[in-house]
Amino acid sequence: MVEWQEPLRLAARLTEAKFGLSQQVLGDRLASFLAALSPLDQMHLVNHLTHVPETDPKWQQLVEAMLVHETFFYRHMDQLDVVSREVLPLLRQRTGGAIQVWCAGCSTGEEAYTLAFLLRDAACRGRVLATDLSAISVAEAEAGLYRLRPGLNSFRTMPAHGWQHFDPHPSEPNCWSVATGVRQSVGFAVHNLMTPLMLPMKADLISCRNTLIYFSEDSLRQVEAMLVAASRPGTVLLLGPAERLRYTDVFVPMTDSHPQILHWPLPGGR
Amino acid sequence: MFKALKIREKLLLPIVLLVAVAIGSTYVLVDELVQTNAVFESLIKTKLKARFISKDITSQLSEAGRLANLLLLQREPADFNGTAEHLEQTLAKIGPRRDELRSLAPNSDAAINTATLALDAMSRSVKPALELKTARDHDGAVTYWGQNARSALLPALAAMNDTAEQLATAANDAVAAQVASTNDKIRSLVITMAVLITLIAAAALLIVLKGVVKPLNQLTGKITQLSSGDGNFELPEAERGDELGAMGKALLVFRSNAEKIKAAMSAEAVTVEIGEVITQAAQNDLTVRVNLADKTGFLRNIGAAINQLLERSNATLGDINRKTRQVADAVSEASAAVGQVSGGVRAQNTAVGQVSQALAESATAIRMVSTSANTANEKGVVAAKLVERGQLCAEDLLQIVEKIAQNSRKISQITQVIAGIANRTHILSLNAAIEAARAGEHGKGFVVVSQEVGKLAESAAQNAQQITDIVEQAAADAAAGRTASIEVKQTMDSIAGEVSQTSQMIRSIAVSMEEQQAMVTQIETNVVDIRGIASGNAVAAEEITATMIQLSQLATEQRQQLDTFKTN
Repeated sequence: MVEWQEPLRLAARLTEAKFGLSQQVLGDRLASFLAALSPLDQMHLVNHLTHVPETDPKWQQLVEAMLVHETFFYRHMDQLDVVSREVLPLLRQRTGGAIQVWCAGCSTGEEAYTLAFLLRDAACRGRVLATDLSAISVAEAEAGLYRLRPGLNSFRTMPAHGWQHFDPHPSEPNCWSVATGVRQSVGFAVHNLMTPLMLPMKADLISCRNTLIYFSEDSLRQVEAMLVAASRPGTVLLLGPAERLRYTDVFVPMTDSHPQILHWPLPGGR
Repeated sequence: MFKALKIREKLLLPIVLLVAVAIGSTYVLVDELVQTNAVFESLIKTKLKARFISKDITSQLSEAGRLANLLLLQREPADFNGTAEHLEQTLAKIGPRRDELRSLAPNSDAAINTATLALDAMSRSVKPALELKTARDHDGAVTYWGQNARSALLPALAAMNDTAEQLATAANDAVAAQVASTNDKIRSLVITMAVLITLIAAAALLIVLKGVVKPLNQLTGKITQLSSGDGNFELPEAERGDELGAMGKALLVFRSNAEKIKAAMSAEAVTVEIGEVITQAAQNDLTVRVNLADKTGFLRNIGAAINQLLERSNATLGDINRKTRQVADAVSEASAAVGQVSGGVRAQNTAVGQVSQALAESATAIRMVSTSANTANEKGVVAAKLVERGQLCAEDLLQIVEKIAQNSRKISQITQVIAGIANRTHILSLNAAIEAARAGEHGKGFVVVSQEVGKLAESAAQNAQQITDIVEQAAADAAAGRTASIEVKQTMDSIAGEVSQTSQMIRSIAVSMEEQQAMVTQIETNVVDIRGIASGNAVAAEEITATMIQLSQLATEQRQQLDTFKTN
């Protein structure tokens, strides 16, 4: 038992140190990933992972196995309604229409595109930068192809007006691609939230919803620092329903309409 | 009515009375003096004037006497004519004075008459004396004068002096009487005044004592009582209309102020107490309460309000605490449950994957079955022939079994004979043993032999019994074999019938297997869908798990925060 648990413990420590992934949440996935390997292979893998950079294919394999890609269009509609109604008009007025949006932890792109849809509907010329740790998910997101599968698909809470941003796939039935105009306004990149963002961007709106829940308590300090580093006074931050910032008090609730819409208050007022 | 009058008004009454008394008495006094004065004035005008006139008449008369004597002495006509003229003038003055005196002193007629006699005698005697003188009869003149005039002069002088004396005495008496009367009047006035002033002063004193000093003393007592902190007294004085009423009213204000001060002082202590309760409550202890037992007024209300606030906060926090605990428990349970679901869904995902794989395998299998069914059809024909042969063999088998049964019966009979022999041999061995014992020392070897024979017989009997058992079993088996063989034969007969049916069925199976193959292909696509659904569920469940863990942490933190409040 001990020799079987040892690689798991080491792998857990490594993934937490490199990617900040919480073992409390993702430990089962890591365990089942390792369980598929023989004890000897597990030890080999852990030994290998200890000495290679995170761009190594083995790391990618492990990370892909651990990540939970739960996302769909127009998720948390109540929050997005408030964003459309209160936040975007304010940001448009402040930035002159070119709103910089960062979707941190975009998974397969549904959320990033949803934000782009909102920008379009609000007649803003903004751009969305969407990043995720999973290269596969980022590739999928870039393709912008979504299938109307049975069960919990990407369109599960799609409002009727959302369909205007999609074109049907020419050959495959029940397959939709995001309209070209929207796709051009969204850029995707692979990014580990534990490391600095390569583009020195200052976002006007950061959406980091249901992402922080996968980070361990300690690594959140670094992630929150990253979010602050990509912000400036006036930046609005969207969080998921159960999330909160533990280490920074830069962001404060922005509106009474929704508790999970925060912002970095401008000096002297809004 | 009396109490409504101010002290000033009360004292004004005796003062006014005093002033009135003073003015009255002064008036009376002055009047008295004026009267006295008038009396004196009339006295002077009458009695004293009369006295003066009588004195004047006396002196005129004396002057006249002196002039007459001078006349009588003078020898020269010029001298005595001049003196005579002077004498006549002097006599002429006396007449009016005598008339004046008569009007002023009517009681002195006798004296006046005497004076009139003397005057008349002298007036009548001047001319004869003068004529004698002129005639140079000086002695005659003296004699004439002596005879006619001098005798009347002296009684007149005496009478006039007496009158003057009488008038002076009368005037003195009148003055004395008037002074005595005035003195009496002033004395009685002064006594009356003194009595009145005494009465008024007594009344004023009574007023002051009754209307001022007594209530003032009472008020002083109450003020003293109040100053010692006891405000428990009646204040009927406050309803008075006078200065004491004002004082009473002021005292009422004092009392209410004193009560306020007292209340304020006790309020401070109570405020401090309430403050301590609030401080403790601020330090999250919601079990503390303000003790209302010894409090009154608005601080009691505040205390009650604070208690109510604490009570409600306590109840609300307690309620929130319970609910949060419940939520924390529920979230923790739900978290565990969702975790299990998540694991379950992951397992389901794996299982569905396996099903998918199994389905692919079964599709292959079905294809193989289909092929096999056709082969089976051909084999069926071969089987029919084999069954025919089987039927024949079954009959042979039946006969063989019957033979075995017969042999078994024979063996059984032989075994019974062997058993009899063994029995007898056993009895013989017993006899041999008895005989050997009787032979004594020489039979010893035979004893051994007989024992061995006995054992042999016993063994033979046992073997015989075993053989009997085996043979009986064999017979029973043979009987069963017979029945079985009969059944085999019957079965073979029916198989022969069935084989042809089977052949037909296998043909239909081959057909339905082809249909199955099509269906499995359809199922395969469905399972792919199911796999997708399961995978979506798994992902969603895992995200819910992650969310639940956050919620669980939130609930725990909230509970810890709530636990810092001390409630009951």
